[in-house]
Amino acid sequence: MTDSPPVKQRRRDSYKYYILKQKIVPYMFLLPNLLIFGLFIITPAIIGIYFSFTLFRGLGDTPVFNGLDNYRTLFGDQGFRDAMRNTIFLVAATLPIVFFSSLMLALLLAQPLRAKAFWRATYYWPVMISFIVVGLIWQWILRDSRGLLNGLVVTLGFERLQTLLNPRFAWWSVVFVFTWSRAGYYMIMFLAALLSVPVSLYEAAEIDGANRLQRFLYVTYPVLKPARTMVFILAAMEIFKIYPLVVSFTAGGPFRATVFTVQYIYETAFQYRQVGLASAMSVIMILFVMVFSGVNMYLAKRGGEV
Amino acid sequence: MRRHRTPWFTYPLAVFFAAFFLIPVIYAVMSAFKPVAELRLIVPTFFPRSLTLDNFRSAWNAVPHFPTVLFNTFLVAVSSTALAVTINTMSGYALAKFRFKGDTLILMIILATIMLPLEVIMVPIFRVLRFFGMYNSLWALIIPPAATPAGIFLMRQFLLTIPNDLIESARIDGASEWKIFYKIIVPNAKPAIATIAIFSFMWRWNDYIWPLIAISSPRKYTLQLAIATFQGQYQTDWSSLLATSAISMIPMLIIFLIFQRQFVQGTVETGMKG
Amino acid sequence: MKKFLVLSLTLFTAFVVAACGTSDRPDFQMMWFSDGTEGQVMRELLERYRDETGVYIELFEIGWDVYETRLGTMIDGGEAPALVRTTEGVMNNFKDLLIELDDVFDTTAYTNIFYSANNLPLGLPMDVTANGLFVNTDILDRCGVEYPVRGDEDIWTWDEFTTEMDKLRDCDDVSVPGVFDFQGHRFMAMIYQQGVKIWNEPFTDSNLTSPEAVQALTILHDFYQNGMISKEVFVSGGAAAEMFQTGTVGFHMSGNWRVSGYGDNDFEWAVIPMPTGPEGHRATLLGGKAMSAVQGSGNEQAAKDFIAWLAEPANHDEFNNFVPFLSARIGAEIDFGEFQEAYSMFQDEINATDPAFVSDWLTQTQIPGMYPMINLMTDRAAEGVMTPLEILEALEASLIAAME
Repeated sequence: MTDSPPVKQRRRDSYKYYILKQKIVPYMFLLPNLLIFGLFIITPAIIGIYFSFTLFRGLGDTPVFNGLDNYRTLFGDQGFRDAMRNTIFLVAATLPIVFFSSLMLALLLAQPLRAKAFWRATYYWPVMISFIVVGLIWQWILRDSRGLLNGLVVTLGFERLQTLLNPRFAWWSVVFVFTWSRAGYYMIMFLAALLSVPVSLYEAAEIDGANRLQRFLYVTYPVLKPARTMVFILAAMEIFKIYPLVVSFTAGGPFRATVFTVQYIYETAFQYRQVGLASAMSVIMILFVMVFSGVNMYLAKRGGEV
Repeated sequence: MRRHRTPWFTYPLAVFFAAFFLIPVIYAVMSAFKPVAELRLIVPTFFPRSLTLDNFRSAWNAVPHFPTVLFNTFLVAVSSTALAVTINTMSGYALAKFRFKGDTLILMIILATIMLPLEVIMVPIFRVLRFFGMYNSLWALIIPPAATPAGIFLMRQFLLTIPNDLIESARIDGASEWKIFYKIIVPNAKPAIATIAIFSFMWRWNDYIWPLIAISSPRKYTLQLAIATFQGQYQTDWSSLLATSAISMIPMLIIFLIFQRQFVQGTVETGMKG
Repeated sequence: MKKFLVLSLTLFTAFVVAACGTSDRPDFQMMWFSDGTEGQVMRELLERYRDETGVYIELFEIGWDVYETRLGTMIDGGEAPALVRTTEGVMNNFKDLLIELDDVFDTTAYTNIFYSANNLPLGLPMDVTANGLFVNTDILDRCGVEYPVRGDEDIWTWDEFTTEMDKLRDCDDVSVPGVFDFQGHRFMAMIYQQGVKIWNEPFTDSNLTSPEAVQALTILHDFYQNGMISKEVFVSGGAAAEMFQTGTVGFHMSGNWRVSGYGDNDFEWAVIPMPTGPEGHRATLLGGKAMSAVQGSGNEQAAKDFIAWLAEPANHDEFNNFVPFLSARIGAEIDFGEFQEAYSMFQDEINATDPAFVSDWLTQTQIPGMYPMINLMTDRAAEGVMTPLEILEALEASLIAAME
């Protein structure tokens, strides 16, 4: 990119040239990413969308076009509807909890604490553990027999609790374990935004006599808006595609109480060998999530400043 | 420098959360040192009764070329992170500070790819990788995953908070777009860059699906791919898995401690003055 | 930040140098999964093969969850591995993509061969798996449970089994009388034990809703509902074996792949005859793993040569001896060491199974997605919301639908 300051009018058409260039600039900045995306993600994804219109068993089979058959099958599929509903409830229950707990942790760590690095690392630690191991750890803690929790309960002389074998307990445990493992992740996002709030804003508020709560409500919270939108959307997506954690935590059980959409899609694709149908399910799921995040982005934009 | 005292409940709260997050982790790490017999007790122990390195030894034996595998994982994570930080910052800047045709659409498509179940489209991805000569090459683990949607989104949202005047005044001064990017945007985006670096290292370190699709030679395996081989048709070698996972946390922690230092209050302001 | 950049540049250079320096290229590859140490045993065999023939075969392992997906992806993408470890399920799913092993090994010397539509073997059978009943004899003896042992003429029926095992409920230090692996095909043997085949006419006319099959599922259903066996397998697939290993569980319905893993149990255990139906039918389900060669790898002949080498008794036995496995080679002398008695019991179960049941089960395994369907059946039996007959009707409908 060459220097071309418009004020100097070096060329006859330099203003036009500048406008043109300004139009190209954002694409140039996006180019490396879009190139990689286009080649390695979007192209296969388009082929995947094509699969959703075919009868395809995977495993070296040839996809045979069958129009909207998969979509028709899918809307009549009770299991898929159940999994979608279960997932939407999970998002509804987990999202507020994750959102506010990570915001609270970030606010806590934005305080002038001693040994900041220690606290940050501690809260972030569970994030570093792969979902499979997270699920495993909590299964060891919460399972009915041999679990740490029930071990403690028995040692204290109480009756054993029915834990993961209780579908309701298992479902809420997924909410809890997800929050445990991801709060630190979204905390870091909030923290990065929080610590870029100019100190002068606080100073001004303080001179105006604002108390702690007012400072939060009128200075911090509005400034965090882009971060809030982001955490809201990313967390919703992550909960929506929950799977590896559940597999090692409850394996979708007991009695399929914790089977969510992605697990259902995988089972359809790899156990029941219906890759075409599974692709159609993925398309529906992605459309659903796109609408969800689109609405959120729109609301955030309409609220101004973003 | 600091404007007010911390409220009285700050430290008790901090300690409470530390316990909440750490106790299960400690339980897991200590379990990696327990002998197999102790892992089988009907009433489990929290602290190990006796310590052993057997689980680490069996993991080491079960994974061929363990040091090479560690090195591969490190190499991939570092290289891909360097690439990701660069291109995600560029894209985030374009999406945050320019209005252009298709900007919302591009963002939406990028975001939608987060939801893409890569396993279902393994076949086409495999063909694309092979077409570009990346099959069974570590490049396949460095380049394609570097274009992380969450990283772009994170950078965009962060840069939205940077005042536009900063960029406009530089433009009026006649700075080139590239110069604006690395003289103004990059220094002001340090916390976001650090965040992406921390996340990207972790994502690549823990990545399973890209190595699974692309790698078939044991000398090019990464840690997560090796860990997955502990899982058989009838049984899973949990103790080796636990031991390997305990080892795999250390590099991520180091990277975190290095980069979290970039979180410094008031970066934007210094940027403005300078 | 700068340090990080310098570091990554250094690594990059190292990487490029390392990439150029790889000289030891394998001739072709073998794809593998492991339940235990058998991957290491196969690697040693491959090293010996290299010493003897100069052919370098590289073994790479993939986790079982994604094993078939990965294999399909490689074949589809034109990078088929020359050799692949298969189960009867894998061979069935890939039957059109594997090489028919005509004249590669002597088929009369092996059992449990999986054949293609042309009646040619799709793999060299390596080991045989069968269902069986493990018991904690310490607990059974302490609680006064009477049970048959290997070689008894008169073994027990499911009714007698239930009566005896009921004694464990009130016995001290027993957390639960027993456990079943969650996989439904542990259960399917119970249908045969009731004396019926699953299919009269494959994939159209089944006996799944017959009184015998309903009786079989009712036993399982009641076990789950009255607490005879633990439901914990429905939140963790490995729970059955892990619970048995605590030494507080009386019996574990599983298979011979468990034997070597139970070697370090700190209690006395044994494998004893599985119960029969009222007519005295004994039955186990057979499975196993094989070595197959894949079409289009570019090394088809070399792969066949290796399989021929592996089929030589000495080499075949070396593999099975190390693990040890029940060998698929007829007359193989495998040294099971301390596990001799346990493996012999499995061999007895196999010998006592009617060949009609064996071939009926092989037919059954041809249904795509059959395993998750029967797993769902045991899941529902444990949940206890549907009656056994309703569950079996649903299973029959989905099995037939899958073949259309």
